[in-house]
Amino acid sequence: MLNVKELSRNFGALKALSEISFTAGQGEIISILGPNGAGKTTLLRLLSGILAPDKGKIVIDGINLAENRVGALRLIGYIPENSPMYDEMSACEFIRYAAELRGVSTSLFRSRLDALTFGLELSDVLSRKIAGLSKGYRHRIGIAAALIHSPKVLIMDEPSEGLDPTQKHIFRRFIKDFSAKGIVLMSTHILEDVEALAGRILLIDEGRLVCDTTPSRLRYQMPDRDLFSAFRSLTGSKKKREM
Amino acid sequence: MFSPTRIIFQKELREYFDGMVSVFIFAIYISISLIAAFYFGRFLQTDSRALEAFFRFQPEILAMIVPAICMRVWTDEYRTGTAEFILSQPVSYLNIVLGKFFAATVFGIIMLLLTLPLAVFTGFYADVAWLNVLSGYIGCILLICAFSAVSCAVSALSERPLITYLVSFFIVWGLVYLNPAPLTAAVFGIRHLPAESFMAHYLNFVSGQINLASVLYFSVLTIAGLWINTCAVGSRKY
Repeated sequence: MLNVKELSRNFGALKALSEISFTAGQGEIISILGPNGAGKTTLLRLLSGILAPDKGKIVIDGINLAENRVGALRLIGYIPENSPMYDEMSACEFIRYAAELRGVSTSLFRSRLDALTFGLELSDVLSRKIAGLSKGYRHRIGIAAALIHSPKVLIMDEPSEGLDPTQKHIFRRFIKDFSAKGIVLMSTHILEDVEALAGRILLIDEGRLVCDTTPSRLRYQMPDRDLFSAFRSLTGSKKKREM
Repeated sequence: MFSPTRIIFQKELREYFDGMVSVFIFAIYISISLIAAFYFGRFLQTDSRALEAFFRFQPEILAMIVPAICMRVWTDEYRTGTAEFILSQPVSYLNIVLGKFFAATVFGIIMLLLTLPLAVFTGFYADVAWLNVLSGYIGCILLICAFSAVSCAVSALSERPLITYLVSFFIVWGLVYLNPAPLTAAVFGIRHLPAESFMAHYLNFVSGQINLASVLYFSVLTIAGLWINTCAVGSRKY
């Protein structure tokens, strides 16, 4: 169970996030939608412990992130935008490094690595240096590293950006399988991903949560039953004011 | 507590020895040390029992080399985005900082130990005071610890390796040549700081005296650097 309460974060005078609250339970795939600069990445960085909030709290399975950062982060797998990783390592070394940092034993690592490489179709590239791999492979290695400790919450920032249709298919199938065991939170502005994966949408605009609903409900609020129209009508309030 | 530190330490130390950069740094350090000892220190003309001509220039030489070793410790993580990876792991900031600091320090100590043949060869033709030499090496190791801690802290504040190098270099040189005790006494009224300068503490080791005040002096500098580093990483705005 993930419980986010009145989460706020400022960067100087800029209010990046303002009093965001929501809860999520096992089996949910939540898409965090919003225009560029809405605060999606800030929210994910707060949830993954990279940034500390100015106000509010994040509780994961009863563990308050602010009080027990290390304990809470054991329950989280985070994939930043563009899946940054150490290029000089091989895929296997990188996943092993992530596993060691999370205290996964050698025997558990072996079995989980086998399952992840099978599910993500990575067996061909495990021994290759990350520097020479395509974006699709790098992305799947990032997912494997984030899931090697079997987290309860998987957080992904723009996960399918730049993937070809086959890679998207593998990615979506894997995320659906994972969601049966945990919570998936992904920020995206690719509406096709939202329709294919998400059971719930958190729409953020200018740091505020403007909508927490399901894709179908959101679609049916619009006359043309279209997610894109809903996205446009609910976001960009600042631009509209300026116009 | 130390397991994540060990894992990060091993990974960082391996990275130092990837490619030819380590060989390049070792070659530069040994060349400068030998030139300083033999040319400026007149190693062959002076009494070299305690290798004083070698140790005398180590603060200046290490002040040039250690910031170069540490300049990429955090800047590379920020530039490539891997800082997001490492900081989202269930590992405390202090563990990460210590892992990186120990790797830089051990690399510096390996570099220092490559000068041991100088002492061994000197032993063939002179009566070397080995305890003094040991004390000199301990002094150098404490210098490397303090300089690494300061340089790693500076690295945590910037994304540019060159800026990191220059700022670390000036801070470390400032430490070597400026004695903060009279300044802090005048400005803040703090009169209990050790009155001896950085260089005086270091020269205690070179002359074979390992005293507690000097060990504490370098330890405090190291701990201060690590503390600033931990705060800088924890409060960074992405």
